[in-house]
Order: sequence, then structure tokens, then C-alpha cells
Amino acid sequence: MSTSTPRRTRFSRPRAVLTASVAILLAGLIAACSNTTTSSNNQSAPSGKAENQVTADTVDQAQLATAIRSTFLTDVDKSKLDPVVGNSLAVASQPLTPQQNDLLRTCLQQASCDTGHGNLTVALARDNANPWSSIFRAEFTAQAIAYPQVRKIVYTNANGNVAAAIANLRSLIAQRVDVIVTDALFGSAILPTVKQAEQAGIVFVNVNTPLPPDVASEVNSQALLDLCQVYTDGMNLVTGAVPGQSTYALYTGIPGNANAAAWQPCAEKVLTGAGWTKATEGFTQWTPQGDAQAANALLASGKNPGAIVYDAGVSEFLKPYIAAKTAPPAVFTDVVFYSDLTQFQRAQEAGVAPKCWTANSHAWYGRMGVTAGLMIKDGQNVPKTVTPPVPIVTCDSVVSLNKPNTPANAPVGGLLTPDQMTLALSVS
Amino acid sequence: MTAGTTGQGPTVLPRPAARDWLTDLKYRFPARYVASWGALALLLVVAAIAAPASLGGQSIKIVSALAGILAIASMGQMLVIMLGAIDLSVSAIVAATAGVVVHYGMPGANLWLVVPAALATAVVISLVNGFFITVLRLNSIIVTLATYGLVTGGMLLWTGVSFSLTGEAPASLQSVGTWTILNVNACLIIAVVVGVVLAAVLSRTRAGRQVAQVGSNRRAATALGVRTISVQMSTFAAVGLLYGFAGLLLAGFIGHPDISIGAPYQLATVTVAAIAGIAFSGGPASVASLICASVFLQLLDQALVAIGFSSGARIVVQGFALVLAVSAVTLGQYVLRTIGRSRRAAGARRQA
Repeated sequence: MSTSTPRRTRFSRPRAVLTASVAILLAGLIAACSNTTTSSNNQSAPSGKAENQVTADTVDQAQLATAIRSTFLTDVDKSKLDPVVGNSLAVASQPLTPQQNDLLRTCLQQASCDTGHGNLTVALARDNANPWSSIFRAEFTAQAIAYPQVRKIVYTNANGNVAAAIANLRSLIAQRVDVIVTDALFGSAILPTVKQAEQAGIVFVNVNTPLPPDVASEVNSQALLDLCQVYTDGMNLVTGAVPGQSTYALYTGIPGNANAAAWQPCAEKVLTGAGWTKATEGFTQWTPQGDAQAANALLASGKNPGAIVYDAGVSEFLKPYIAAKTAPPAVFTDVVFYSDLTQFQRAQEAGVAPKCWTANSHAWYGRMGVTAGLMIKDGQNVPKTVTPPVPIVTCDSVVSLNKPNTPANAPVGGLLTPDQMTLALSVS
Repeated sequence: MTAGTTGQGPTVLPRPAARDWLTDLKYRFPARYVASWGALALLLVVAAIAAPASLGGQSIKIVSALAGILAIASMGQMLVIMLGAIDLSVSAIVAATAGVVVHYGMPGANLWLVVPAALATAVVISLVNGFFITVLRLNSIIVTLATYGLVTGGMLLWTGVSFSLTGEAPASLQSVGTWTILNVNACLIIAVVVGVVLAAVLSRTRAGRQVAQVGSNRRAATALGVRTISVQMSTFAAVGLLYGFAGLLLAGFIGHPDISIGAPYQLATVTVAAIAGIAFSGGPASVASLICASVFLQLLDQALVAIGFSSGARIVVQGFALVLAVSAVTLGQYVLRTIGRSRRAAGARRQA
């Protein structure tokens, strides 16, 4: 029996062959995974008009009116709506079929799903995970499913991490999706990836949170929430309803966040113009504990402002006042949840209901992203910026929307059924 | 009796040295445990002058509630640190407990089953930590960070971003979490009761003293016949139970907890342990000092909010307070040593 040790060179050849084989295999796998559908990279080549294109003029007008009321929380004249907004609501006004409902259920439980028809891939790149974001995803999915030309739906979630957000966008670009829809929280950080998407011929649509000008010029379109106008209109209502000059308390989640940078200067301009002064300012991290601390601190401070202005749910702000049987200050927010309506009802029952205004919670804006993206792929002219109206409504007028089977953590204003909302919130 | 015999008549021995009250105090109340008391006393004085609203009724309610919950969670962290480890999964276990009780505690549910199940969940997760740290001897930071990720991700997969349809904690739990006596929230009262029991167990029972023994010197404890693995695993079970209690009370106080509810306790419990003078190398600790440190931290935050500090400024001040509280121990020990040396020198001069 030979006991000699083989020389190194005898092992190197098979090892080199093995390494090369593995490399080729990996390259082949990566290439295979990079191909999605038969989508074209050429943005200028339209994918072909969708059959029976749905617009605001072609659908049942009663259904459209109901959809408008559900999303805006009040009636809005459809003639005042941009075609992107009108068309997206027209599509959304048609209830999903049972098959589409099943598909919605399937899609929400997966990171990507195949609709079984069409040839386009639409992707949703989320930047964080919370109840509002989950409803946003479900609204987006329902809209995508309704379009026959959508073949595949892909989701990513950065969970609040900017590096992950950029990596996710790069992954979508590598997958050669046709449309990317995002609610970009990280602003200028995504500029390089937006440019890459543009070079790859991918339609990039941003919704809800405005991008900085340098990034905004690179995306195909934006459907934005005009926070400045919302809070300007809101503060005009507040100062008109609360007699005399008073003080106000301003709250947001995280110091320096892009939302607050958009609305706070506008709100303060109106309030100081009306002779109001700031009583206090706080940051809640947008968490229930942060809300509870801020609310109790405000009550304990004895400052008693005329109004609380906050860009998230106000239920925790109402609780200590209800417990103390003290009338809360007037409240304004652009996002209201069903749990807030529950607290408002409790305040009404306790006889301490505040003056309260809100806007629709704009969790349905992803629908406009889908519609805008597909319109662009279709070769239609879509404005660089679409700004849907945001009517302000009283909390009184929407309290009746709070039904027992509606998830408490869902935002008010949208087109999902309670069952669909429950499903959306039950998945990560 | 001091007389002795040497065969040449009785020997009168000198009377025992006069009791050194300072030395006595030093051993009864080690300086590192006194720092949190001193910090709280100073804060009360400053708050009474600069932010009297933070000592008002509504403030006391919120401070006592959050301090009580923080104290209970910190007691769990304290036990882990006494073993010479550290636990970074506290936030995940607190959130998991809150999630279980909200998910299964829907109206009509049997809370006598739901609450123990939620606590059992916390205990099991902590025991898993204990197994990897004590039996497999893995690094506690790595293990607990991994647990944090697994549990948080698991909760997201299981319940999504909302724990239940209503997202609301059971009404009876909310009643407990928001109940007050003379503006002091029940959470703090419960924390004090739990603290008294824990302190008694740690100081008066053999099993309790073995926790400090194992943490101080594992090998010596083994040589003394202590069953170190049993002690450590039992301790981790107690840790889980404490985190579970904190999660239940937090869910009851907040009312609508979500997956992020445990996040503030990730590092706050470590901060409390540091202010309380607990040695991170393991060994004995003071429960009273821990409760005091919890109250100090929450009251400090409330006072800063009442004064009108922004979030960034509050974080800076809290960090500063932590450094001061921890270094006060060292400074205090230096002062005491200097005083002791002076007294011994004076005593030696008198005898000479």
C-alpha cells in the first residue's frame, strides 16, 4: 500500500476544474434569477394599450363617487382630479372579484407573486414597516391586481434602514422590473439608484413623501401629499374655531424628519400670523409609549394649549384628558386611525370631546403610483408632479366609519374592506 | 470579657477599638449603591425649583408607571449582570409578552390562561438564552442579540404589525396598568413589592446568595459545591418571568401596544443597572438602588420635557447624568478613602 503523500500539483487541477464549474453554475443561476417576465428594457416602446382602458369617465359614476368619498373622506368633484388620480380611483372603484381577492390574499403573504396574466412587473419598495405601511402595501397590491397587464408583483422593505433601502432598489433594478413605486423616506440617499433605474429603462414613481429637487428631477413622476397646504388649511380652521389668541403644542415623531420639515413651517406661519404662540414642542418617536409620555407631560405641565398639532394618531393624546375628565385642546392631524376614532367616541361619551380635524390618511397613494407607472409604460403623458386634493374634515364626520370589525390600527381613508385590512395587518 | 491569664496575674487587654462608624457605613451601604440615591435626591431638589410641574399629580402618574415597568425589566437585567452576562433581548421578550396577551386576550378570552401563557413565553425565551450562555458557554451579547432578531422577526411573521383586530390589551389588564393610589401608579407599587421579594431571596436564601457567588467567581462556586448550571438556568427563568411581568404591565398601561413597544428598554435597563452601581463583571447587586435608579431616569426625562428641552437635548442630558452617576461612585470612593486615611493618620499621631 502506498503511503506517499500526493504532491500539491495533483490536487490543484481537479480543484481548479471544480472551482470553474461552480463559478459557471453560479453565473448561470444569477442570470436565470435576473430574468423576470418578458418585459422590455426599452421605456419608449409602449407595452401596448390595455384592453378596455378604465378611466374616470368610463366607470359607473355612483361607484366612482363612493370610491372618492372613501378615499378623501368627503365628496370631491371628479372634474377637479388629475387624470392619474381619476383613473386610479376609477380602477379602484370596481370591487375585486373573488379570484382577485384570493390573489390579494396570496400576494400579501409572499415577497412576490404571479398574477397569471399580463407581462409587466411592478415593484413596491417600502422604507419601513408599521400599520400604515402595511395598509399602503395592500392598497398598492389591490390596484396592481386590477390591471390585466400586470404579471408579477414584487415587494421589498428596508425596515427603516437607508442602506437596506438602497440595496433593495438595486436588487429590483437587477431583476429588471418594469415599474418601481416607492414612498421614499430617505430622500437624496437614493439618487444614485434612481439614476440607475432610469438608465435601465425602469419607470420610477414616488408617492406621498416629496423627494428633494435633485432626486425629483430624475424620477418619472410623483404623486405627492401637499403637507404644507394640508396644514395651512388645517391651521386656518383651528384658529378660526378656537376663539382669541392662544398657544399651540407641536408634535412629530423623530427630530428632523422630512414630513415635519414640510408641514411645521407652514403650520407655524398660520398660527403665528393669527397671534398664537408655541407652548411646547415634542417628539414621540411615533410610538405608543412616546405618545403617552408626551401627552401626560403636556397635561402635567399645566400649559393647556389651545391646539395640539401632530402628524400621527392622536388617541394617546386624548386618553389622559379623558381620564382626567378634562376637555382636551383642539386637535389636528393628517393621519387618523380607527383607534383614534374609538378614543374620540369615548371622549364624546365622557362629555369632553375636543374640536378635531383630520385629513384622509393617504395610505391609498400607492394606487396612484401603480396607475401612473402603467400609464407611462403605456406611452401616455403623465405630469412630473401630481398633487391630489386633501380636504380637511371634522373627526365628527368620520366617527361613523368606526365599525366593530375594523382593525384599530388601520388608518382611516382607503378602499380596502375590513377583512382586507385585517389581512394586511396580520402579515409583516 | 477581656481579661486573660499569663501566670503572672490577670492581663488587662485594652478595650476594643472605638467603633469606626464610617467603616460600618461603608460596608452597610457601599458607595456604588448610594450614587443613585444621591442622584435622585439632587434631581428632586432641581426639579422642585426648575420644573415643579414634573412633580405634579399627572407627572407622578406617568413617571411612577414608566419607572415601575422599567424597574421590573431592570431587575431581570440585574440578575443577568449578576451572573456576569448581559441581555440585549429584553426588548424583544417584553414585546413578545405584550403581543401574546393582546393577541389571545380578545374580549371573552380566559385571562387566567392567557396571562400565564404570556409569562411562560417569556420564561421559555429566556431559558433558551440561558442554555446557550451557561451550558454552551457562548458569548451573552451574541446570543441575546440573535434572540432579539429571532423573536422580533418571529412576532412579525406570526402576528404582523398589529397584534390583534383591536390591537388593544385586555380591559382588566388596562385597569391594573392605569390604576393609581394617591397619583402613584400601580406599576411602581408592584415593582416595589417584587423588589422586596427579590431582595429577600437574593440575600436571605441560599439559592439567592449562590447567584452572586456564581457571578463573582464561577470556578470558586463550583469548588464550593454550588451547582452552577442549575443556579444559572433558574436565574434565567426568573429573568424571563420579570421581563414578562414588565411586558404585561406595559401592555396594560399603554393600552394599544405594537411591535416596537419594548424598544426603549433595550438599553434603558443597562443604563439603570449602571446608575445603580451594579458591577458588570458579576456579583452582588442592590435591588433598592436599582428601583431608585429607575425612578431617577424617568423623573429626569419628565423634568426635561416639562422644562421644554428638545429630544436631542434630553438625550445629551441623560447621557451626562449617566456619566456623572457612574463616576460619582469612583469619586465617592476616593473621598471616603481620603477621609479614612486622614482619620488613621490622626489616630496614629494621637497614639504616638
